[in-house]
Amino acid sequence: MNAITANELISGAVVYLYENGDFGVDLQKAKLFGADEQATQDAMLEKTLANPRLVSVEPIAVEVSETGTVWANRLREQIRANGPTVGGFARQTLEGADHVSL
Amino acid sequence: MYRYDEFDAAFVRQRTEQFAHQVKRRLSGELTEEQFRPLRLMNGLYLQLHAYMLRVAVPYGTLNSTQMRKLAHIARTYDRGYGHFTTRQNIQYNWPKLKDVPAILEELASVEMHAIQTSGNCIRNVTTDQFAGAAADEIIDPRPVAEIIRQWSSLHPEFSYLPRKFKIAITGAPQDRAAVKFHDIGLMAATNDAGDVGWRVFVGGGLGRTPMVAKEISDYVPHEYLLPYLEAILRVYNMYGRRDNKYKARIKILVHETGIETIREQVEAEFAEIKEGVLKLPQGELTRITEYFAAPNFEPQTETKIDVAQFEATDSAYARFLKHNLHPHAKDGYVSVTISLKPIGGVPGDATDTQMEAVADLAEQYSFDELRVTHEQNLVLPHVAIKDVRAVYDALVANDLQEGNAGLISDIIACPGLDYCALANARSIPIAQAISEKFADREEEFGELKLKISGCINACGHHHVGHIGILGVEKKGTELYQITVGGDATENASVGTILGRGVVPEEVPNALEKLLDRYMAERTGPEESFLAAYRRLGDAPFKEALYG
Ligand code: SF4
Repeated sequence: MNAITANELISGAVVYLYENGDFGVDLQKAKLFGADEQATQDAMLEKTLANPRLVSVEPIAVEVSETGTVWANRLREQIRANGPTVGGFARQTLEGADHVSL
Repeated sequence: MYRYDEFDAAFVRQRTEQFAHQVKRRLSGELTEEQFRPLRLMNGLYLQLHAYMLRVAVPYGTLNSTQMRKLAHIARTYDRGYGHFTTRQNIQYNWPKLKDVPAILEELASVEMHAIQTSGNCIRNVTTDQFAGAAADEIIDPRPVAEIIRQWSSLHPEFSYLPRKFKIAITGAPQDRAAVKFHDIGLMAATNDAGDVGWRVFVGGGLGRTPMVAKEISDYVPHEYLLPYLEAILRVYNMYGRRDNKYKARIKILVHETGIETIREQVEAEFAEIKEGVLKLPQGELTRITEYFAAPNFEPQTETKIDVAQFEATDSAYARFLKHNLHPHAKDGYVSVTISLKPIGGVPGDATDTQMEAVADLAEQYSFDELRVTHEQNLVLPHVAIKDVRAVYDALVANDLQEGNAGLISDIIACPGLDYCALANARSIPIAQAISEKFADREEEFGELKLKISGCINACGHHHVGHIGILGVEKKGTELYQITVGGDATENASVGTILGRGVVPEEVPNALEKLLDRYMAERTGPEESFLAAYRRLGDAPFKEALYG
């Protein structure tokens, strides 16, 4: 399965496309695209790329555990989703709002 | 220390205003990311994994207390209360917001600092010996020449779009502490038969995907002709350097593929054309710049030695600090003090805002207002009277900066790796932390040992030149670490040898223990360092220790 991720322009924060079409920081709320939804994914990707508030847009591979937790497959994406593994720093937050509308 | 003249001040102010305007246009949507990206990179602003990262230039690693306080203020006001000192003697902030960057640059400009040319295919911040202007073994203080190179290379119209980035390092001492042979151009002070000081010039060194030791292109270039000579090298590179393949675009590849003799001929031909032109440095100008770097007003000192042994039984931490963190000074009664940014289990190179302020206070009070950033990610108080060392140490203890480990295994260079860097394949910082914790009680036993860690083949952590180097790679979605031995960044430069297959993260400290136990068993005595033992024995015993 895939999710769509980006960095928000003002803060640089890592964001994901949600089911409701907004972008927010929580991977658990990400809209997931199955292998049979390539066309929908491509259309959303194109729409996202056109949004000037979102940069470094890309699809990422994810899995869903038995308990329903969404996991990014690559360690890189796990670190983007959870913050640095050292130093105890929380992730970057969005500037002045909890989401970016597509 | 160099002070901006009107030209410098106006140039930095204009650039700050220009970038503020560009940010405004980006935020309003007038500029696309594609249009904005090269503009932000020209101003040191990257987009990393979690946030933007701003890289601020510290020219040749020299700062005063006002500048350090400003760096602390920026960390506290616009970032998360800390900064990360890098292997290019710069500082990086990991969490700034785009909307704040113009204000940060304005703050920097107010103390004669900026982030220009800390990214992109241009000539980057010139690096030098952290003990420049202080070291006992120095032939000449290289900072005036470093400053002249900075002025020449800043916004040089011909060299703003080179095939690739270009790094210059310079040292005024025969002991190379600036890794000059691993730079695109390396300069080492040299004396000619008449006793005049000039420069040995090396070209085509580098780390990254294809590590190479630089080759000597000239054994002596006088001061007055140094800029035309450098310009000639850059012209040859700009003309013939490959632009078709990013991985073959550095000058090291050009030198390697063309051969140093041909490159030398091309450079000499170019040099002959421009030698007597506008770049020939008048002695008056050299003297004017040199005056900015005049030695401080050292007072005669009665205390000229520290008896380390007397503290070994009563205050072993202080004894360790004295043994490892003091460097001989050219002036009797003074030393240079290394402030380690490598606490056991800490993040190499990080300093908090309060630590930066404490260090600024120490510089002001005890080191003639001078500070240095080292390429090994530490700080230096270059001129401390021996009578003041205890007071400096006590202040460092109060700020958790007292680690007496300079040059030991826990004095690790580590790049930000996968915890921050968008290009990384594997993490560096947790590996450094695990190693420094594992060997905290044994590091004195091992003696001098340079350990360097990179999170990908770009080698920002200089792993190729670590006595022990560690390179993080990604294999089938997991992190693996390749171990190299025998690298050396000094005048006896060598590139480390990969010992074999990579090991998983949890196994890295144990793998190092096997290597170090073998070293301890094989060395001729404590005076034979790990590197010397490796050079005598070759890699076979270390391979066997690691893989059986
Ligand atoms: S070596 Fe690689 S991972 Fe480390 S800072 Fe450089 S580019 Fe990033």
